[in-house]
Amino acid sequence: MALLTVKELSFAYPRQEPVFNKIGFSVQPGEILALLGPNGVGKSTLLRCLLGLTPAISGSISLADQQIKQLTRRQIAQQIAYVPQDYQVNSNLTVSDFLITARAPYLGPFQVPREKDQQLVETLLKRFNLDQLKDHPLSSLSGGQQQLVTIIKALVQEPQILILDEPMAALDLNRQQVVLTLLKSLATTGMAIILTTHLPDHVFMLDSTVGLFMPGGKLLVGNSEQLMTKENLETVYQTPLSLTYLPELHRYTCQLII
Amino acid sequence: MTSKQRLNCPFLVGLIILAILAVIALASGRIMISPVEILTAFLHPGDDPAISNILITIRLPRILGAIIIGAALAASGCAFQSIFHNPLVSPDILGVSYGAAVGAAFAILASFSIWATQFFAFTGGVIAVLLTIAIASFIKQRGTLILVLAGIVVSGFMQAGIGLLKYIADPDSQLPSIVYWQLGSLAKIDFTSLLAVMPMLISGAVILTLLRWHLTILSLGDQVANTEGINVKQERLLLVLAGTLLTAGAVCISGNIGWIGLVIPHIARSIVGDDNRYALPFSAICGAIFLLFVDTLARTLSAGEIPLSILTGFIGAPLFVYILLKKQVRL
Repeated sequence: MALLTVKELSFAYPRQEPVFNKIGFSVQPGEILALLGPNGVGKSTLLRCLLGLTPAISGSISLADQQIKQLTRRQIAQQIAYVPQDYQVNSNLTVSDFLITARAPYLGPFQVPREKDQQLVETLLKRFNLDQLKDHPLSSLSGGQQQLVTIIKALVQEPQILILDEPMAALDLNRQQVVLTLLKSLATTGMAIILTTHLPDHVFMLDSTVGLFMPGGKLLVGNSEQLMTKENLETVYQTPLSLTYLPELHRYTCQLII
Repeated sequence: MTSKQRLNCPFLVGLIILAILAVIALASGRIMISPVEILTAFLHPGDDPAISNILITIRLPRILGAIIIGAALAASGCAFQSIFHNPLVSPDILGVSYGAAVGAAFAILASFSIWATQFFAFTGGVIAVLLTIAIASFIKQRGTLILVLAGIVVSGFMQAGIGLLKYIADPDSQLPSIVYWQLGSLAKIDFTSLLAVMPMLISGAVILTLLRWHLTILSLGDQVANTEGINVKQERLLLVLAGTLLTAGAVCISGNIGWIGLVIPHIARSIVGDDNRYALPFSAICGAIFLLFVDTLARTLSAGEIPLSILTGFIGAPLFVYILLKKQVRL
């Protein structure tokens, strides 16, 4: 059964053209869905709708077989974790105290984290070779480290669905490699992943399902081999593009024609 | 030493300092009383009724009052800073203290009981903080300064309200009591007034203590708190009410004592870190130490009593400048 099902979802700001209009898709366990579209097309808005943070004007979103509208924030948080775009951590919490906040969905409102929550945090920090940063204040980390810590926080939440808004935007090539590899390996454990990106190549690298924001508020969702054509991508970005097959990498690459 | 053990140390040191300071405060005053005499007076109150009277009915309630009010104001400030994820706010800056003072002054003018005074102080505080939040949300700009500006507006309005109440108050019987609220003093505290505000202070403290970890999550911003499963609106309202209970309870018996709610939480966090599991209780301990220290100075430095806000201002204002410079608060 699909972990997440979106049916006929529409969203518009008051007195404006719809941002997206009657879109639909579903996400299975272990599936990666990458959303592509130009700036301001509504990628982040769609993610916020999926999280139940922004109400859509019509249509439905279900987690497993339950409508998201009928779930509490706590129930949603037990299933979906979110990594916001360019999250500025304006806090002096230590890395460990920051990460452990993600256990909140599993604890009562008056409970504080238990020993096993702390252990989970430490295991994950070790896995990413960040255990030496455990007691460092967040504000002392570099942008790339903060982004990685924010992704680890989402994993501390033990979600079935991981939603990331432009996770690669602030990262150098090395860290992009780390995150892309991580996302692929998380998918093999059965976690569903939804992300937005500005780089069509990320879709080829992840070999994922793709959602293309077409003009007129439509979303084309499907297999990347079928949808990632030169024509579709040029329609999405309204600019001439070149699509080339890289035999040594067994994938395509999409480049600007400059 | 694990990080948890490392955190126990400041708490222990804080409590020891508080205990030593309490003994010094008991001993100091117009009549100096030695620690041996203090011990005798508490163990055998009949031996020297004059000394026992000074210690138990005059100094002890005042010392307990300083500890409780200092802790309440600092904890309330720590909570407000986390609730609004804003290092520049405090019960004074949000207008809570002045709103509570208007309510209390009104109750005095109407010759209401101590219970009604508390009710009006709390209501005044809640109205003030809700007004501040409403004004800040109407100004559709983000940034830490908007809430501060809204608070200045509301505080100004509430101070005008106190001015009006003073203007219509009876200059012989009511005016002195109201003026007392503005300067802040612990001189009139006795066991009766302390006991009367305890239900209010305890309920505020219990709510904050129970929700102290969620307070940390709220300090990361609404979006993070929401996606970590917290009902932000509901919990924030509950926490604002709890912070207001603490401030209003303190204002009822001590008047307006500024700066503690703003400065002390920063000092506490610089020692135990930002996580409110530790920062909230440690702020309370630091606030208790600070107010007990200041109040002991206030009643021993000169023959007359120095109003507390004068001393907290002289100490608090330069400390706050230092914090602003050191922490490089983002405005």
